[in-house]
Amino acid sequence: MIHVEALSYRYPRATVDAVRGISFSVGKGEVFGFLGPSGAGKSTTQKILMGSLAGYRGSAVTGGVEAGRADGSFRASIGVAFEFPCFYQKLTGMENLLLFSSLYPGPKDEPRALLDRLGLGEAADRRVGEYSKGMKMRLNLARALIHRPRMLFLDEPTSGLDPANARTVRELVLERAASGAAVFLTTHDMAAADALCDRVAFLVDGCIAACEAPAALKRRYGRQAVVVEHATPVGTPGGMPAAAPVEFPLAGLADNPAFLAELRKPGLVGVHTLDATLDRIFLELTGKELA
Amino acid sequence: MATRFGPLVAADIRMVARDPLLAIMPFAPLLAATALRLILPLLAGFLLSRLGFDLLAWAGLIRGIIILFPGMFYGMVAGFLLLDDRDDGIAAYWSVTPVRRSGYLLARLGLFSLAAVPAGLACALVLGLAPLRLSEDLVMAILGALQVPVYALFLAAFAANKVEGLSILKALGVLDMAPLAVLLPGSVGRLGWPVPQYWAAAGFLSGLSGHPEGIPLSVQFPGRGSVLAYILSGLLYAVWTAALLRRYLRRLE
Repeated sequence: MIHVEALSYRYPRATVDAVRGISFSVGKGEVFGFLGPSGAGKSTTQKILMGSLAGYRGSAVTGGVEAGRADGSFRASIGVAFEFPCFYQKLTGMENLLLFSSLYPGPKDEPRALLDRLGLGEAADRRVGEYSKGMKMRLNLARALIHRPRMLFLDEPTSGLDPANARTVRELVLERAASGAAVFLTTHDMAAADALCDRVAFLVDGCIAACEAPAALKRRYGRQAVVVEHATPVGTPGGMPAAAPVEFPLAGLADNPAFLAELRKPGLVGVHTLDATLDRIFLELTGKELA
Repeated sequence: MATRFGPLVAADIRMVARDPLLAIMPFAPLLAATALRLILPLLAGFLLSRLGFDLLAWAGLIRGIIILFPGMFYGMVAGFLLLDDRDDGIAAYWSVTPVRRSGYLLARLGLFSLAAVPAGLACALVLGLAPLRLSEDLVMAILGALQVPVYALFLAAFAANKVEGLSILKALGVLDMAPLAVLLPGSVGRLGWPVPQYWAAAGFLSGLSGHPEGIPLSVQFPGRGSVLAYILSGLLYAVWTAALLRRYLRRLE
Protein backbone atom coordinates (compact mmCIF):
# COMPACT_ATOMS: atom_id res chain seq x y z
CA MET A 1 0.00 0.00 0.00
CA ILE A 2 2.89 2.34 0.82
CA HIS A 3 6.23 1.85 -0.85
CA VAL A 4 9.14 4.17 -0.13
CA GLU A 5 12.46 3.86 -1.92
CA ALA A 6 15.60 5.93 -1.27
CA LEU A 7 13.52 8.87 -0.09
CA SER A 8 15.37 12.09 0.75
CA TYR A 9 14.20 15.61 1.41
CA ARG A 10 15.93 18.89 2.13
CA TYR A 11 13.98 21.96 3.21
CA PRO A 12 14.66 25.18 1.32
CA ARG A 13 17.64 27.06 2.78
CA ALA A 14 18.61 24.02 4.93
CA THR A 15 22.18 22.74 4.68
CA VAL A 16 21.43 19.08 5.42
CA ASP A 17 18.70 16.64 4.44
CA ALA A 18 15.84 16.17 6.91
CA VAL A 19 15.22 12.69 5.47
CA ARG A 20 18.19 10.72 4.15
CA GLY A 21 17.57 7.94 1.68
CA ILE A 22 15.07 5.87 3.66
CA SER A 23 13.29 2.82 2.28
CA PHE A 24 10.38 0.85 3.70
CA SER A 25 6.97 -0.46 2.77
CA VAL A 26 3.63 -0.85 4.54
CA GLY A 27 1.25 -3.58 3.45
CA LYS A 28 -2.54 -3.69 3.34
CA GLY A 29 -3.89 -4.25 6.84
CA GLU A 30 -0.54 -3.54 8.47
CA VAL A 31 0.03 -1.12 11.34
CA PHE A 32 3.45 0.42 10.80
CA GLY A 33 5.00 2.45 13.61
CA PHE A 34 7.35 5.28 12.73
CA LEU A 35 9.25 6.07 15.90
CA GLY A 36 11.86 8.62 16.70
CA PRO A 37 12.71 11.72 18.70
CA SER A 38 11.53 15.20 17.71
CA GLY A 39 13.32 16.47 14.62
CA ALA A 40 14.20 12.99 13.37
CA GLY A 41 12.23 13.45 10.15
CA LYS A 42 8.98 11.66 11.06
CA SER A 43 6.65 14.54 10.21
CA THR A 44 8.55 15.33 7.02
CA THR A 45 8.19 11.74 5.84
CA GLN A 46 4.51 11.72 6.74
CA LYS A 47 3.91 15.00 4.88
CA ILE A 48 5.57 13.56 1.78
CA LEU A 49 3.46 10.39 1.95
CA MET A 50 0.26 12.43 2.34
CA GLY A 51 1.13 14.44 -0.76
CA SER A 52 1.63 17.67 1.20
CA LEU A 53 5.33 18.14 0.51
CA ALA A 54 6.74 18.14 -2.99
CA GLY A 55 10.33 18.39 -4.15
CA TYR A 56 11.60 15.18 -2.57
CA ARG A 57 14.15 12.82 -4.10
CA GLY A 58 13.60 9.08 -4.51
CA SER A 59 10.19 7.49 -4.63
CA ALA A 60 7.18 7.55 -2.29
CA VAL A 61 4.25 5.61 -3.73
CA THR A 62 1.09 5.63 -1.62
CA GLY A 63 -1.92 3.64 -2.75
CA GLY A 64 -0.37 3.25 -6.19
CA VAL A 65 0.11 7.00 -6.62
CA GLU A 66 3.47 8.77 -6.52
CA ALA A 67 2.98 11.22 -3.63
CA GLY A 68 4.31 14.15 -5.65
CA ARG A 69 1.41 13.70 -8.09
CA ALA A 70 -1.30 13.29 -5.44
CA ASP A 71 -4.68 14.61 -6.56
CA GLY A 72 -8.13 14.93 -5.04
CA SER A 73 -9.00 11.25 -5.42
CA PHE A 74 -5.74 10.29 -3.69
CA ARG A 75 -6.62 12.59 -0.79
CA ALA A 76 -10.08 11.03 -0.63
CA SER A 77 -8.40 7.66 0.03
CA ILE A 78 -6.41 8.76 3.07
CA GLY A 79 -7.47 9.58 6.62
CA VAL A 80 -5.30 11.88 8.67
CA ALA A 81 -5.18 12.70 12.38
CA PHE A 82 -2.56 15.31 13.21
CA GLU A 83 -0.91 15.34 16.63
CA PHE A 84 -2.67 18.58 17.56
CA PRO A 85 -6.40 18.27 16.87
CA CYS A 86 -7.72 21.25 14.93
CA PHE A 87 -11.44 21.98 14.61
CA TYR A 88 -13.85 24.83 14.21
CA GLN A 89 -14.33 25.88 17.80
CA LYS A 90 -17.73 27.49 17.21
CA LEU A 91 -19.19 24.39 15.58
CA THR A 92 -20.32 21.35 17.53
CA GLY A 93 -18.46 18.05 17.40
CA MET A 94 -21.16 16.63 15.14
CA GLU A 95 -21.15 19.68 12.84
CA ASN A 96 -17.39 19.45 12.49
CA LEU A 97 -17.56 15.74 11.73
CA LEU A 98 -20.35 16.17 9.16
CA LEU A 99 -18.53 19.09 7.49
CA PHE A 100 -15.33 17.13 6.92
CA SER A 101 -17.18 13.93 6.11
CA SER A 102 -19.10 15.77 3.35
CA LEU A 103 -15.83 16.36 1.48
CA TYR A 104 -15.36 12.67 0.77
CA PRO A 105 -17.18 10.53 -1.78
CA GLY A 106 -18.27 6.96 -1.15
CA PRO A 107 -19.68 5.04 1.82
CA LYS A 108 -19.10 6.42 5.30
CA ASP A 109 -19.53 5.40 8.91
CA GLU A 110 -22.67 6.50 10.70
CA PRO A 111 -21.40 9.61 12.55
CA ARG A 112 -23.49 9.24 15.70
CA ALA A 113 -22.44 5.60 16.12
CA LEU A 114 -18.77 6.49 15.62
CA LEU A 115 -18.98 9.28 18.20
CA ASP A 116 -20.79 6.94 20.60
CA ARG A 117 -18.05 4.37 20.17
CA LEU A 118 -15.45 6.99 21.06
CA GLY A 119 -17.42 8.13 24.10
CA LEU A 120 -18.44 11.42 22.50
CA GLY A 121 -22.13 10.66 21.92
CA GLU A 122 -23.38 12.91 24.71
CA ALA A 123 -21.00 15.73 23.75
CA ALA A 124 -21.78 15.51 20.02
CA ASP A 125 -23.99 18.60 20.05
CA ARG A 126 -21.68 20.69 22.21
CA ARG A 127 -19.33 23.21 20.61
CA VAL A 128 -15.78 21.94 20.20
CA GLY A 129 -14.55 25.03 22.06
CA GLU A 130 -15.95 23.39 25.21
CA TYR A 131 -14.15 20.07 24.61
CA SER A 132 -11.20 18.86 26.69
CA LYS A 133 -7.96 17.88 24.94
CA GLY A 134 -8.85 14.19 25.24
CA MET A 135 -12.26 14.76 23.65
CA LYS A 136 -10.67 16.66 20.76
CA MET A 137 -8.19 13.81 20.28
CA ARG A 138 -11.05 11.32 19.97
CA LEU A 139 -12.94 13.58 17.58
CA ASN A 140 -9.69 13.87 15.64
CA LEU A 141 -9.65 10.10 15.19
CA ALA A 142 -13.35 10.04 14.26
CA ARG A 143 -12.66 12.58 11.49
CA ALA A 144 -9.80 10.44 10.17
CA LEU A 145 -11.93 7.28 10.16
CA ILE A 146 -15.41 8.37 9.10
CA HIS A 147 -14.88 8.07 5.33
CA ARG A 148 -13.34 4.59 5.66
CA PRO A 149 -9.93 5.46 4.18
CA ARG A 150 -7.65 2.85 2.67
CA MET A 151 -4.64 4.48 4.33
CA LEU A 152 -4.54 6.04 7.77
CA PHE A 153 -1.90 8.50 8.94
CA LEU A 154 -2.07 8.87 12.69
CA ASP A 155 0.21 11.12 14.72
CA GLU A 156 0.24 10.36 18.47
CA PRO A 157 -3.39 9.12 18.46
CA THR A 158 -3.42 8.21 22.17
CA SER A 159 -1.74 11.37 23.45
CA GLY A 160 -3.67 12.98 26.32
CA LEU A 161 -6.13 10.07 26.64
CA ASP A 162 -7.00 8.22 29.84
CA PRO A 163 -6.28 4.45 29.78
CA ALA A 164 -9.88 3.47 28.98
CA ASN A 165 -10.17 5.85 26.01
CA ALA A 166 -6.67 4.97 24.85
CA ARG A 167 -7.76 1.34 24.75
CA THR A 168 -10.86 2.23 22.69
CA VAL A 169 -8.69 4.16 20.25
CA ARG A 170 -6.26 1.24 19.93
CA GLU A 171 -9.16 -1.17 19.34
CA LEU A 172 -10.60 1.04 16.61
CA VAL A 173 -7.24 1.36 14.87
CA LEU A 174 -6.73 -2.40 14.98
CA GLU A 175 -10.26 -2.97 13.62
CA ARG A 176 -9.54 -0.70 10.65
CA ALA A 177 -6.29 -2.52 10.00
CA ALA A 178 -8.15 -5.84 10.21
CA SER A 179 -10.57 -4.55 7.56
CA GLY A 180 -7.64 -3.86 5.23
CA ALA A 181 -6.49 -0.31 5.90
CA ALA A 182 -2.77 0.39 6.00
CA VAL A 183 -1.94 2.39 9.13
CA PHE A 184 1.09 4.67 9.33
CA LEU A 185 1.51 5.55 12.99
CA THR A 186 3.90 8.25 14.14
CA THR A 187 4.54 8.27 17.87
CA HIS A 188 6.86 8.73 20.82
CA ASP A 189 4.67 6.41 22.88
CA MET A 190 6.45 3.07 22.97
CA ALA A 191 3.60 1.37 24.84
CA ALA A 192 1.14 2.36 22.12
CA ALA A 193 3.58 1.29 19.41
CA ASP A 194 4.13 -2.03 21.14
CA ALA A 195 0.40 -2.66 21.48
CA LEU A 196 -0.56 -1.59 17.96
CA CYS A 197 2.23 -2.09 15.49
CA ASP A 198 2.99 -5.10 13.35
CA ARG A 199 6.36 -3.51 12.56
CA VAL A 200 8.19 -0.44 13.79
CA ALA A 201 10.92 1.66 12.19
CA PHE A 202 13.30 3.66 14.37
CA LEU A 203 14.15 6.94 12.72
CA VAL A 204 17.12 8.98 13.85
CA ASP A 205 18.63 11.99 12.10
CA GLY A 206 16.60 11.21 8.97
CA CYS A 207 17.82 7.59 8.73
CA ILE A 208 16.11 4.33 9.63
CA ALA A 209 18.23 2.62 12.31
CA ALA A 210 16.06 -0.51 12.53
CA CYS A 211 12.82 -1.79 11.04
CA GLU A 212 11.25 -4.95 12.43
CA ALA A 213 8.34 -6.42 14.41
CA PRO A 214 8.38 -5.23 18.04
CA ALA A 215 8.43 -8.79 19.37
CA ALA A 216 11.43 -9.70 17.18
CA LEU A 217 13.30 -6.60 18.29
CA LYS A 218 12.58 -7.30 21.92
CA ARG A 219 13.76 -10.86 21.58
CA ARG A 220 16.93 -9.85 19.83
CA TYR A 221 17.87 -7.07 22.19
CA GLY A 222 16.49 -8.61 25.39
CA ARG A 223 18.39 -11.01 27.69
CA GLN A 224 17.43 -14.65 27.41
CA ALA A 225 16.80 -14.97 31.13
CA VAL A 226 14.19 -14.84 33.88
CA VAL A 227 14.36 -13.11 37.23
CA VAL A 228 12.83 -14.55 40.40
CA GLU A 229 11.82 -12.08 43.10
CA HIS A 230 10.94 -12.68 46.75
CA ALA A 231 9.33 -10.34 49.26
CA THR A 232 11.34 -9.18 52.27
CA PRO A 233 10.66 -11.79 54.99
CA VAL A 234 8.17 -10.75 57.66
CA GLY A 235 9.89 -9.66 60.86
CA THR A 236 12.99 -8.44 59.03
CA PRO A 237 14.42 -5.54 61.01
CA GLY A 238 13.70 -2.12 59.50
CA GLY A 239 16.34 -0.90 57.12
CA MET A 240 17.21 -4.40 55.94
CA PRO A 241 17.29 -4.61 52.14
CA ALA A 242 14.72 -6.80 50.34
CA ALA A 243 15.96 -10.14 49.00
CA ALA A 244 17.91 -9.54 45.78
CA PRO A 245 16.24 -10.85 42.59
CA VAL A 246 17.95 -13.91 41.20
CA GLU A 247 18.53 -14.32 37.45
CA PHE A 248 18.48 -17.65 35.56
CA PRO A 249 19.19 -18.30 31.89
CA LEU A 250 16.22 -19.43 29.78
CA ALA A 251 18.18 -22.31 28.32
CA GLY A 252 17.46 -25.47 30.34
CA LEU A 253 15.29 -23.54 32.78
CA ALA A 254 12.87 -26.42 33.41
CA ASP A 255 15.74 -28.64 34.53
CA ASN A 256 17.65 -26.00 36.47
CA PRO A 257 17.65 -27.18 40.15
CA ALA A 258 18.71 -23.76 41.45
CA PHE A 259 15.77 -22.15 39.67
CA LEU A 260 13.34 -24.76 41.00
CA ALA A 261 14.73 -24.35 44.51
CA GLU A 262 14.30 -20.60 44.23
CA LEU A 263 10.65 -21.10 43.28
CA ARG A 264 10.07 -23.22 46.39
CA LYS A 265 11.35 -20.57 48.78
CA PRO A 266 8.63 -18.76 50.76
CA GLY A 267 7.63 -15.21 49.80
CA LEU A 268 7.79 -15.62 46.00
CA VAL A 269 6.30 -12.47 44.42
CA GLY A 270 7.22 -12.70 40.78
CA VAL A 271 9.00 -14.35 37.88
CA HIS A 272 9.83 -12.03 34.96
CA THR A 273 11.46 -12.42 31.59
CA LEU A 274 14.13 -9.88 30.68
CA ASP A 275 12.66 -8.70 27.37
CA ALA A 276 14.01 -5.38 26.23
CA THR A 277 11.56 -2.48 26.02
CA LEU A 278 11.31 -0.51 22.78
CA ASP A 279 12.67 2.55 24.63
CA ARG A 280 15.78 0.64 25.67
CA ILE A 281 16.26 -0.79 22.20
CA PHE A 282 15.98 2.65 20.69
CA LEU A 283 18.54 4.02 23.15
CA GLU A 284 20.87 1.13 22.45
CA LEU A 285 20.57 1.50 18.68
CA THR A 286 20.83 5.23 18.42
CA GLY A 287 22.28 6.54 21.64
CA LYS A 288 19.33 8.94 21.81
CA GLU A 289 16.32 9.26 24.09
CA LEU A 290 12.90 9.19 22.42
CA ALA A 291 11.27 12.01 24.38
CA MET B 1 -17.93 20.58 -6.90
CA ALA B 2 -20.86 22.66 -5.68
CA THR B 3 -21.96 19.83 -3.42
CA ARG B 4 -18.55 19.89 -1.78
CA PHE B 5 -18.48 23.66 -1.39
CA GLY B 6 -22.03 23.81 -0.02
CA PRO B 7 -21.15 22.48 3.44
CA LEU B 8 -18.10 24.79 3.63
CA VAL B 9 -20.29 27.80 2.85
CA ALA B 10 -22.93 26.66 5.36
CA ALA B 11 -20.25 26.23 8.04
CA ASP B 12 -18.93 29.74 7.41
CA ILE B 13 -22.40 31.25 7.70
CA ARG B 14 -22.96 29.33 10.94
CA MET B 15 -19.64 30.51 12.38
CA VAL B 16 -20.34 34.15 11.52
CA ALA B 17 -23.81 33.92 13.07
CA ARG B 18 -22.31 32.51 16.30
CA ASP B 19 -19.69 35.24 16.71
CA PRO B 20 -21.12 38.45 18.21
CA LEU B 21 -18.50 40.65 16.50
CA LEU B 22 -18.67 39.02 13.08
CA ALA B 23 -22.45 38.64 13.08
CA ILE B 24 -23.02 42.39 12.97
CA MET B 25 -20.38 43.18 10.34
CA PRO B 26 -22.34 42.07 7.24
CA PHE B 27 -25.04 44.60 8.16
CA ALA B 28 -22.67 47.46 9.02
CA PRO B 29 -22.51 48.88 5.44
CA LEU B 30 -26.31 49.00 5.24
CA LEU B 31 -26.48 50.72 8.61
CA ALA B 32 -23.86 53.22 7.42
CA ALA B 33 -25.83 53.86 4.20
CA THR B 34 -29.04 54.35 6.21
CA ALA B 35 -27.32 56.77 8.59
CA LEU B 36 -25.85 58.74 5.68
CA ARG B 37 -29.23 58.93 3.98
CA LEU B 38 -30.65 60.55 7.09
CA ILE B 39 -27.68 62.76 7.89
CA LEU B 40 -26.46 63.92 4.47
CA PRO B 41 -29.45 66.12 3.51
CA LEU B 42 -29.30 67.84 6.89
CA LEU B 43 -25.53 68.25 6.68
CA ALA B 44 -25.75 69.45 3.05
CA GLY B 45 -28.33 72.08 4.00
CA PHE B 46 -26.17 73.25 6.88
CA LEU B 47 -22.99 73.48 4.76
CA LEU B 48 -24.80 75.29 1.94
CA SER B 49 -26.37 77.89 4.19
CA ARG B 50 -23.33 78.52 6.38
CA LEU B 51 -20.38 77.97 4.02
CA GLY B 52 -21.95 78.09 0.58
CA PHE B 53 -20.55 74.59 -0.07
CA ASP B 54 -22.82 72.27 -2.07
CA LEU B 55 -22.11 68.82 -0.65
CA LEU B 56 -24.76 67.18 -2.80
CA ALA B 57 -22.76 68.13 -5.87
CA TRP B 58 -20.49 65.25 -4.76
CA ALA B 59 -23.35 62.80 -4.48
CA GLY B 60 -21.98 60.54 -7.25
CA LEU B 61 -18.64 60.13 -5.50
CA ILE B 62 -20.30 59.50 -2.13
CA ARG B 63 -22.55 56.92 -3.74
CA GLY B 64 -19.57 55.21 -5.38
CA ILE B 65 -17.71 54.99 -2.08
CA ILE B 66 -20.77 53.58 -0.32
CA ILE B 67 -21.17 50.87 -2.96
CA LEU B 68 -17.56 49.82 -2.23
CA PHE B 69 -18.22 49.58 1.52
CA PRO B 70 -19.58 45.99 1.77
CA GLY B 71 -16.47 44.62 0.05
CA MET B 72 -14.35 45.99 2.85
CA PHE B 73 -16.60 44.71 5.64
CA TYR B 74 -17.12 41.28 4.09
CA GLY B 75 -13.38 41.04 3.49
CA MET B 76 -12.84 41.74 7.19
CA VAL B 77 -15.22 38.94 8.16
CA ALA B 78 -13.51 36.48 5.81
CA GLY B 79 -10.13 37.69 7.13
CA PHE B 80 -11.06 37.08 10.75
CA LEU B 81 -12.27 33.59 9.88
CA LEU B 82 -8.98 32.88 8.08
CA LEU B 83 -7.09 34.25 11.06
CA ASP B 84 -8.95 31.91 13.42
CA ASP B 85 -8.33 28.97 11.11
CA ARG B 86 -4.65 29.77 10.84
CA ASP B 87 -4.28 29.97 14.62
CA ASP B 88 -6.30 26.79 15.21
CA GLY B 89 -4.32 24.84 12.59
CA ILE B 90 -7.36 24.08 10.43
CA ALA B 91 -5.91 25.92 7.45
CA ALA B 92 -3.13 23.31 7.40
CA TYR B 93 -5.59 20.43 7.74
CA TRP B 94 -7.44 21.40 4.57
CA SER B 95 -4.36 20.52 2.52
CA VAL B 96 -4.87 16.80 3.25
CA THR B 97 -8.56 16.79 2.26
CA PRO B 98 -9.89 16.28 -1.29
CA VAL B 99 -10.86 19.95 -1.65
CA ARG B 100 -7.33 21.00 -0.68
CA ARG B 101 -6.41 24.42 0.60
CA SER B 102 -7.32 26.04 -2.72
CA GLY B 103 -10.91 24.76 -2.52
CA TYR B 104 -11.26 25.92 1.03
CA LEU B 105 -10.01 29.42 0.15
CA LEU B 106 -12.17 29.54 -2.96
CA ALA B 107 -15.31 28.63 -1.01
CA ARG B 108 -14.68 31.18 1.72
CA LEU B 109 -13.52 34.08 -0.42
CA GLY B 110 -16.13 33.26 -3.07
CA LEU B 111 -18.97 33.29 -0.54
CA PHE B 112 -18.12 36.71 0.87
CA SER B 113 -17.26 38.18 -2.53
CA LEU B 114 -20.58 37.04 -3.99
CA ALA B 115 -22.46 38.36 -0.96
CA ALA B 116 -20.74 41.74 -1.30
CA VAL B 117 -22.25 42.39 -4.78
CA PRO B 118 -25.96 42.54 -3.80
CA ALA B 119 -24.95 44.23 -0.55
CA GLY B 120 -23.20 46.98 -2.55
CA LEU B 121 -26.31 47.48 -4.71
CA ALA B 122 -28.51 47.49 -1.61
CA CYS B 123 -26.30 50.21 -0.11
CA ALA B 124 -26.76 52.30 -3.27
CA LEU B 125 -30.52 51.88 -3.07
CA VAL B 126 -30.66 52.74 0.62
CA LEU B 127 -28.43 55.79 0.20
CA GLY B 128 -30.38 57.17 -2.76
CA LEU B 129 -28.91 60.63 -3.53
CA ALA B 130 -28.53 60.02 -7.24
CA PRO B 131 -30.70 58.20 -9.77
CA LEU B 132 -30.10 54.46 -10.11
CA ARG B 133 -27.63 53.60 -12.88
CA LEU B 134 -27.85 49.83 -12.78
CA SER B 135 -24.92 48.93 -15.05
CA GLU B 136 -22.49 51.41 -13.45
CA ASP B 137 -23.68 50.57 -9.94
CA LEU B 138 -23.32 46.87 -10.71
CA VAL B 139 -19.78 47.28 -12.06
CA MET B 140 -18.90 49.29 -8.97
CA ALA B 141 -20.42 46.61 -6.70
CA ILE B 142 -18.40 43.91 -8.50
CA LEU B 143 -15.21 45.93 -8.10
CA GLY B 144 -16.16 46.42 -4.46
CA ALA B 145 -16.54 42.66 -4.06
CA LEU B 146 -12.99 42.19 -5.37
CA GLN B 147 -11.84 43.89 -2.17
CA VAL B 148 -12.88 40.78 -0.20
CA PRO B 149 -9.81 38.64 -1.00
CA VAL B 150 -7.51 41.64 -0.60
CA TYR B 151 -8.72 42.53 2.89
CA ALA B 152 -9.11 38.90 3.97
CA LEU B 153 -5.67 37.78 2.81
CA PHE B 154 -4.01 40.94 4.13
CA LEU B 155 -5.40 40.20 7.60
CA ALA B 156 -4.54 36.51 7.49
CA ALA B 157 -1.04 37.17 6.13
CA PHE B 158 0.04 39.97 8.46
CA ALA B 159 -1.99 39.91 11.69
CA ALA B 160 -0.60 37.85 14.55
CA ASN B 161 -4.02 37.65 16.22
CA LYS B 162 -7.51 39.17 16.21
CA VAL B 163 -6.53 42.22 18.28
CA GLU B 164 -3.69 43.00 15.89
CA GLY B 165 -6.13 42.33 13.06
CA LEU B 166 -8.42 45.08 14.32
CA SER B 167 -5.50 47.54 14.40
CA ILE B 168 -4.53 46.59 10.85
CA LEU B 169 -8.11 47.11 9.72
CA LYS B 170 -8.16 50.63 11.12
CA ALA B 171 -5.14 51.39 8.95
CA LEU B 172 -6.63 49.64 5.93
CA GLY B 173 -9.86 51.63 6.30
CA VAL B 174 -7.98 54.52 4.69
CA LEU B 175 -8.07 52.57 1.43
CA ASP B 176 -11.80 53.04 1.16
CA MET B 177 -11.22 56.77 1.19
CA ALA B 178 -8.70 56.34 -1.65
CA PRO B 179 -11.38 57.24 -4.24
CA LEU B 180 -11.24 60.78 -2.90
CA ALA B 181 -7.77 60.98 -4.44
CA VAL B 182 -9.45 61.40 -7.85
CA LEU B 183 -10.24 64.93 -6.68
CA LEU B 184 -6.65 65.79 -5.87
CA PRO B 185 -4.82 67.87 -8.43
CA GLY B 186 -2.29 66.40 -10.92
CA SER B 187 0.76 64.74 -9.42
CA VAL B 188 -0.71 64.54 -5.90
CA GLY B 189 -3.62 62.53 -7.27
CA ARG B 190 -1.14 59.95 -8.59
CA LEU B 191 -0.68 58.76 -5.02
CA GLY B 192 -3.92 56.89 -5.52
CA TRP B 193 -2.77 55.06 -8.66
CA PRO B 194 -1.62 51.81 -6.94
CA VAL B 195 -4.97 51.54 -5.15
CA PRO B 196 -7.69 49.66 -7.08
CA GLN B 197 -10.48 51.64 -5.39
CA TYR B 198 -9.03 54.83 -6.91
CA TRP B 199 -9.53 53.54 -10.46
CA ALA B 200 -12.97 52.19 -9.58
CA ALA B 201 -14.02 55.66 -8.46
CA ALA B 202 -12.34 57.29 -11.45
CA GLY B 203 -14.32 55.01 -13.77
CA PHE B 204 -17.53 55.60 -11.86
CA LEU B 205 -17.16 59.38 -12.07
CA SER B 206 -16.03 59.32 -15.71
CA GLY B 207 -19.20 57.38 -16.46
CA LEU B 208 -21.38 60.23 -15.21
CA SER B 209 -22.52 61.85 -18.43
CA GLY B 210 -20.66 65.11 -18.96
CA HIS B 211 -19.60 65.19 -15.31
CA PRO B 212 -22.72 67.11 -14.26
CA GLU B 213 -21.19 67.62 -10.88
CA GLY B 214 -18.36 69.59 -12.44
CA ILE B 215 -15.81 67.56 -10.54
CA PRO B 216 -12.19 68.38 -11.50
CA LEU B 217 -10.84 64.84 -11.85
CA SER B 218 -7.09 64.33 -11.51
CA VAL B 219 -7.28 61.88 -14.39
CA GLN B 220 -9.43 62.21 -17.48
CA PHE B 221 -10.46 59.41 -19.78
CA PRO B 222 -11.39 60.12 -23.34
CA GLY B 223 -14.26 58.21 -25.01
CA ARG B 224 -15.03 54.97 -23.15
CA GLY B 225 -12.54 55.90 -20.47
CA SER B 226 -14.66 54.55 -17.65
CA VAL B 227 -14.23 51.02 -19.04
CA LEU B 228 -10.47 51.45 -19.09
CA ALA B 229 -10.51 52.66 -15.48
CA TYR B 230 -12.64 49.71 -14.42
CA ILE B 231 -10.26 47.28 -16.16
CA LEU B 232 -7.28 48.93 -14.46
CA SER B 233 -9.04 48.58 -11.13
CA GLY B 234 -9.76 44.89 -11.74
CA LEU B 235 -6.17 44.22 -12.78
CA LEU B 236 -4.83 45.94 -9.69
CA TYR B 237 -7.12 43.84 -7.50
CA ALA B 238 -5.75 40.71 -9.19
CA VAL B 239 -2.14 41.79 -8.60
CA TRP B 240 -2.78 42.61 -4.94
CA THR B 241 -4.69 39.36 -4.41
CA ALA B 242 -1.91 37.26 -5.97
CA ALA B 243 0.80 38.97 -3.90
CA LEU B 244 -1.14 38.63 -0.65
CA LEU B 245 -2.08 35.00 -1.39
CA ARG B 246 1.60 34.20 -1.81
CA ARG B 247 2.42 35.88 1.48
CA TYR B 248 -0.44 34.11 3.27
CA LEU B 249 0.56 30.67 1.98
CA ARG B 250 4.16 31.29 3.04
CA ARG B 251 2.93 32.16 6.51
CA LEU B 252 1.00 28.88 6.70
CA GLU B 253 4.09 26.77 5.92
